[in-house]
Amino acid sequence: MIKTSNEKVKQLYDYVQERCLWQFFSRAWDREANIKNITRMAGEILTGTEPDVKTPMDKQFFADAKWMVADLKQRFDWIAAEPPESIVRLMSELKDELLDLAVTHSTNSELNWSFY
Amino acid sequence: MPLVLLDCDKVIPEREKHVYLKVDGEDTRDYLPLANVATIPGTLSERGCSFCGAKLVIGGVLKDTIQMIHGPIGCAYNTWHTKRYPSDGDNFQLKYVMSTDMKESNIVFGGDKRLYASIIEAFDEMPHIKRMIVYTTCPTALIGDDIKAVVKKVMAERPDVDIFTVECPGFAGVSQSKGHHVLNIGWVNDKVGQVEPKITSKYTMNFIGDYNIQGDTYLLQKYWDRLGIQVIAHFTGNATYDDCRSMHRAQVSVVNCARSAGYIANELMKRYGIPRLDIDSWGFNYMAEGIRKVCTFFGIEKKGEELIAEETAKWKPKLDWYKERLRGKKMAIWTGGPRLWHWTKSVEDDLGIEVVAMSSKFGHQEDFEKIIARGRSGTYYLDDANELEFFEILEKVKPDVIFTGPRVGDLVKKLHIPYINGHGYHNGPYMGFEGFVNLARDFYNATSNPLLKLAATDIREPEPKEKLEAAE
Ligand code: SF4
Repeated sequence: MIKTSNEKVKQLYDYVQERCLWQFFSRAWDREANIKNITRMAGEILTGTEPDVKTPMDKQFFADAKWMVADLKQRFDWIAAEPPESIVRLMSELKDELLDLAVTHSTNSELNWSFY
Repeated sequence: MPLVLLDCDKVIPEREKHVYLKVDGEDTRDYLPLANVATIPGTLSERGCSFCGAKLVIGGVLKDTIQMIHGPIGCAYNTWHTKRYPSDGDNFQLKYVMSTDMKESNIVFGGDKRLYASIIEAFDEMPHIKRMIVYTTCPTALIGDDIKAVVKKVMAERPDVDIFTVECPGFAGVSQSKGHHVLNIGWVNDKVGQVEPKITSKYTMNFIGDYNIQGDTYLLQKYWDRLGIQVIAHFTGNATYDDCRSMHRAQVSVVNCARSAGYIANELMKRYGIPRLDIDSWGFNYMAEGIRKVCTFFGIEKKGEELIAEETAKWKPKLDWYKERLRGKKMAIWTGGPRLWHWTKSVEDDLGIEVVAMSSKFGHQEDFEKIIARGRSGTYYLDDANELEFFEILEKVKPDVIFTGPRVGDLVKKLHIPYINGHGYHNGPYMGFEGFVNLARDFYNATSNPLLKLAATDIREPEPKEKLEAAE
């Protein structure tokens, strides 16, 4: 179960559960990369910082982050009024919750197989 | 309420670990059904064999490739013509399948020579075809036929042909999923990187995990064409063998079916640095999101928005017409695995339909993580379910329609519940904007058709009174 009592993080988390395939890639390493980078870039977009998109992988993270942000803005009116430091905190908490679900405490027995 | 022991499973209580009923506040850290493990003795599984996963799902879709099945004739027949994936190549892949038709003496004395002769005969009979996949099956794997050696000999003698081998007999894994895996990894090891594609656009991608079921690939290809994106390879809908040898040149792998083909997307990422972008191409809203992400990747968002606006104007009114009429209907999905997570939320959001039970034949726990994250509370989630479990679940959830294959479909028809072919579709394609309207129409037709209800009505005249008295 989600650990935070912060209602806003819960809303963001529920959104990701419903929509985002990137949290559940095949293995721990790619889940972790997705969750960390996409939540980071989403935070940057929301606080008006241009994410640094250099590599092909960055482009993938950016594509996922950008449309997550668009959806979040549409669903949650409060986001627009949130100050930047709060956005950073919310995204960091969201990242921790997602990592806990999809990596650290995932009961998927294939998550750490090195072979497919 | 966590995992559920159904009444019919009292004699095989191990099945409890495969049946889950979601309740509010729980997630997959608490309960995650067992999946991709061996079928429990005593339960009649509806899974396919591992060879089938390689041939019927992925390899057999290629439009210019002879499918040579090294085994008894039944292995070929069982995996031929049962999936509707057309191609623009004269439907070669639907018309033909080759078998070495192994008989007892070949099993006793070895089948290498028979395989060699069959390969030569097939190429001679079809001189315009220069590509082939050779599959082992249970008997030829057990007797140790060296299909790679035979293929090497043929390729040395005939430099104009290219042959791929899939060594995945039916018993190689617990379900058809193993066949997907073996073909994916074998292909990236043996074939990717051998052909240089002609690059015609600044934007190139692979589209992975779409098999052109009733024209899905054709429909999506129209979108990519309008966006000016070159698809280097579809893996494997309407694709050629050589398209798929050039996958290393794409800038991104866009993945629809992560179960059957996530492996190759990951390998392309690890070996060639090609990022993997997973999308849902079933569902109106999802398709728009997928197009937006692809367009953002290439920096062509304006084009994407134009396409989405045009398609929405054309198809959304039709979709909404069905939504009005389908709202609140209940649906069960009993398919392979990924369609459960692709469909459960999209039918809810786009059509107002509630998915009340889902069963996966070959999904892994990764699929159940996605399914349970997206699925409703109060819905049943089953892995590798059997017939009796289906009956018991149907009694509990009473769906209006079931999306499943023809075998289970015929079974549920006898209960007078309509079914829609969830694998090969009734009247597809189902992907994309137009496709989801097709799905809605099939759903509407299935649930509005009075035939099944009428079939359940006993229309015999009551026995005349005199006759009943005489019988007493
Ligand atoms: S289980 Fe073995 S023998 Fe049966 S169809 Fe599959 S490969 Fe052929």
